[in-house]
Amino acid sequence: MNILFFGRLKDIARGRTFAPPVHLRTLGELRDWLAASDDLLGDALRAKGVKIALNQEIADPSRAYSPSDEIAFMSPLSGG
Amino acid sequence: MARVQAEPFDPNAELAAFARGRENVGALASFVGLVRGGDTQALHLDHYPGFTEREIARIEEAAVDRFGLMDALVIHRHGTMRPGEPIVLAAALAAHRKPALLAVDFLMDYLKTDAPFWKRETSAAGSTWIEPTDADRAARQAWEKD
Repeated sequence: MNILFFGRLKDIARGRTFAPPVHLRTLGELRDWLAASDDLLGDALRAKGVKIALNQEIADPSRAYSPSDEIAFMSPLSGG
Repeated sequence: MARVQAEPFDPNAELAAFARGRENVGALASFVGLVRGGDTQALHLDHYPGFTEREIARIEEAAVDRFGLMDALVIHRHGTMRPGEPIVLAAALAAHRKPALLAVDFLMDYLKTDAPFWKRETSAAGSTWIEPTDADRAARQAWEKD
């Protein structure tokens, strides 16, 4: 599984490696597991406007993922 | 067409190329966003290669459908930019003025909140992330009510 972080989250997660337990099923469970691993990361993951992408599509936390997926946690977007 | 690139671009040359050879078009409207100076020394934009281009294309398609455009163009930079440099160009080609102008405003409001970019500003005080404001979100939501 490839876990990516963007924006503020990237600064916080930088240099860490995550090995999520295999019993996790949904994106929301993965997010909560990551959040529980670290207070700073937990606060940033729960911040308003954080989005999750599953294989480069915006996805609801209730979606299930598989070990071959690319999952991105994205701080609020700011283009333009 | 949606293009995301690190290299600077020339808005006038891009607009000329975009409009070239189009005969049944009455209006070309555009907006160029520049890096604002003042305290800002540099702006750094991260993107998510592949995903960013697709999401911008999706915003363009929405504008084309909604305003009946002949075509839409968005060029957006990533990487490090200095004050005065263009960050983004949004343009719309339509039969008439109103839809072209409205489409450019729509494109920019959606790019602000929905385009996958992350913006960090460097000033003498240090480096800070810039995130959309409530005003940015309200501007985008206003289009959903129409």
